[in-house]
Amino acid sequence: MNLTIISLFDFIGLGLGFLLTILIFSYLLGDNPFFRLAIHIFIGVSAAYVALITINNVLIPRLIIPLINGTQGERLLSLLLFIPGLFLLTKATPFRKAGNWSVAILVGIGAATAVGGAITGTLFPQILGTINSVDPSAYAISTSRWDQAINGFIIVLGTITTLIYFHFGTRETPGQSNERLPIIENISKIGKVFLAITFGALYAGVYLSSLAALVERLTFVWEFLNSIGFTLFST
Amino acid sequence: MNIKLRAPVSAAIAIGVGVVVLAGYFIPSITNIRFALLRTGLVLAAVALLVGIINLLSVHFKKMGSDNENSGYSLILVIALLLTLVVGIIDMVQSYMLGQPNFQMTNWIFTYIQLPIETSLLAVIAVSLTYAAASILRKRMDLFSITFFFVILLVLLGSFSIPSATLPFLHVIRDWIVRVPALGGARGLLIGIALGTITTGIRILMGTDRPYGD
Repeated sequence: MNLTIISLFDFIGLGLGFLLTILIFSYLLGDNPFFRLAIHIFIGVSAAYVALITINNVLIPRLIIPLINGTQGERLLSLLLFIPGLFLLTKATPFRKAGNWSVAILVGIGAATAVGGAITGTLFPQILGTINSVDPSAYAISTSRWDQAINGFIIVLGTITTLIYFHFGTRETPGQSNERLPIIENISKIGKVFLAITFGALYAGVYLSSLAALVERLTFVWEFLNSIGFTLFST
Repeated sequence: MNIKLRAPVSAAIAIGVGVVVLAGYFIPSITNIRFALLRTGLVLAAVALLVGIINLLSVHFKKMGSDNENSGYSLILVIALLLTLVVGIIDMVQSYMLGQPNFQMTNWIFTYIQLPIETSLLAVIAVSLTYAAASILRKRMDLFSITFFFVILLVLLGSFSIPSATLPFLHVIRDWIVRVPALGGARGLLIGIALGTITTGIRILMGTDRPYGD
């Protein structure tokens, strides 16, 4: 970080970044007013930033510009979009009931997109991937077929037992507490082990990412202090 | 039998629009209608986001007026939000009216305020995760916790690249864990999430759930 080549504007920014980093790091000593101050600044700035991105990337190019500069057809379409948008804005006013039908459009489109996306984007590809892991014709030539068969079996076992772990259906028996069938209970224990492995791997991944962020922030703090002449250790 | 249907008009709109969008995934001839409705949904989602931000502002305006001990934080939040919004709108006006699309001031706020806070929060998570991993075995010593802890340890040791301290077989073990058993578990989770999403979506499309007001 060479301070001689950056502008005053950027230097103020770096100082602000340094201060905010220290405020956030103060959380390591426990919840405190400095941390809460930084978090409230963050929420405010993030909300405004998201609003700006939404206005600049969606509302202006898809609604405002076609309404002003578009052809007659585009203007009509934009106007049709404008009406439910205006009614949706009433949700932030005391006349919020007027916006229900706009929310209904949004919910209908959202639900259908979620169902379609889940079927075509997750369910089919994941089932296909699970089937392929035990399909000998899909095996790679470079590694042992036995290795791939055993690994494929473990993947299928993991997938099925994890799904069974989340099966909470019970058989109702009069006078007895509702419990899962013993076979489901035993299989779900295997699923629990696979879940522990999956969550462990995910945890380690998140930990590595956060560690990279920690190193980046500490480097920034170190370099900023050095650049303003505050030397902790002489080299 | 007296059955009162809740929000019949809104339900009819949601079901009608939803069925057309869903059908568009599987019937090529109505793909264009699906895309038009998706564009409508995109604009409405953008407006809904703005409604959410207006709501956030109004909630904190109310808190500012009360004798709440946190009213000072609400004031800070409102100032930060409005200031960023004003700066962004000035940038936008410069960009669209004067033809100078640089968004310099908005970028400054992003680079020197938002990015440091986001990265610092992620960095703080590293310390919290270390503490949580260290205390997991102390609080609960069962098969799940032991497996969870040793998988974290193996994946971390296999991921570090310290030449003098790294054992080659740890990389192999890490790769195998991530590629085989973790993949199996993750597939089970993903399929479960997809099935849950489909169930919830179909309940909305059938009108059983009506999350759009009375």
